[in-house]
Amino acid sequence: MMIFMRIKIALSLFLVVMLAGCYKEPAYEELSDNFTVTTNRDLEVDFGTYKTYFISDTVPYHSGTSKDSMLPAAEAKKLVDAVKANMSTRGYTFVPKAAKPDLGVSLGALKDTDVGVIYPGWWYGYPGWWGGGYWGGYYPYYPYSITYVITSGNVIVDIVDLKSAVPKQKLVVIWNAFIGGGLATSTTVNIDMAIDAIDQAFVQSKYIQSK
Amino acid sequence: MKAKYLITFITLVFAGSSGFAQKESKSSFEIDQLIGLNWEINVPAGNNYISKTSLSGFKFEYRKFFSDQFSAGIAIGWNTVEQYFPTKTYEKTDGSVAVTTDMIRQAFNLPMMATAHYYPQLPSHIFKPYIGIGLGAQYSSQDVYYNIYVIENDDWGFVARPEIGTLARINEKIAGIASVGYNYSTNKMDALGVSSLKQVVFNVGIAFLLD
Repeated sequence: MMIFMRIKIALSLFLVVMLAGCYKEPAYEELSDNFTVTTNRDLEVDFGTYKTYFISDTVPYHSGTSKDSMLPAAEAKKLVDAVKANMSTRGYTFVPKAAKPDLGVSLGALKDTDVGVIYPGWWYGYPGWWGGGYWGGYYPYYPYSITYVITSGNVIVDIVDLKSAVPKQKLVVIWNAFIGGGLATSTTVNIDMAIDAIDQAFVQSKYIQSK
Repeated sequence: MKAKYLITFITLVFAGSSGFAQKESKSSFEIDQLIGLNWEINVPAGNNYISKTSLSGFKFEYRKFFSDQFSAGIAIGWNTVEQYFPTKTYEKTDGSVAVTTDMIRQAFNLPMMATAHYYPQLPSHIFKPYIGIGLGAQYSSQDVYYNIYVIENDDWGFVARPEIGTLARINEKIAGIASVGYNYSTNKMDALGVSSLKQVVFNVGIAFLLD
């Protein structure tokens, strides 16, 4: 009987240990830093029927912690040039806005900073945890808090059908590229990653081709 | 459904006849109850979610013998596996959406089953082979990590695990266990088009034979 009891207890502990050790954190360091690129298209549209497009030199920029509403000119130019290079390769001609282009291309950038603060000490009170009594009467005090910052960014490219706006009575966004991910601390690195992502957006959209 | 009724019927028949069980047995060896602790290996069979074999698995089981040829019990297991998928473009079947990213897919499964095993009469005093089935519920957590994002998916499904194996007596109180089975569950993950999980399961372990 005693042996049976001991086995029971040993097994219960074993079970708890086994189940407790079951989840593990994924190996995040394996993941690439490159932005994730998602593209959406209007399936009813034949991209071959368009010939001309317009894209502005400026890129609206919204960042929760800044009052800036436009990306600095030098950075904006790099992103706009990346879109222009891809459109040109696909056979589309850049024309001024007044020349009534078939397509309107818009670029926008977002930055989101998620700041969290952990106030240590909330774990006291858990059964068995070292409490004030263990250390001699005083309650543990943390003279600091723990802050974490995750900065993420998005670049959004929209292609709008201007040619069919009047007949359709609406501006249909026939293609969208949604680019996003964690931002590096260096702006140069972020812009380079955004350019790579814009290129990838076109690579996975082979149907964007003027006839 | 029919399998459940069959098992209940068999349990009742054997439970009712246990009073007539002979102490001298012509078959392998007599056991009243056993507790099994197994290391579990899961090899995906036909899953399109993860193709990597899980070596991190465990199964705890209890079997109550109603005769030399029949036992019923419970089994609880867990297994976890993680697989890195290099950058690739995933496209929706209608071509409307494309996503380019690398990712880590993580799976954690917790099957909980009622089991029944049949042991054919054999002259061996060391080996006691069996065939059996486990039926129950499985909790599954399938998380996809990409860049700084995660898609979390948890659900419960029905699980069925037929298996074939053997006990190998070491001494009065301990036997080895080895088995192979097929684990089928209805857990799904819509985001990646998974509609069920199937694995070939190998168990190797120790059984404590109890009076």
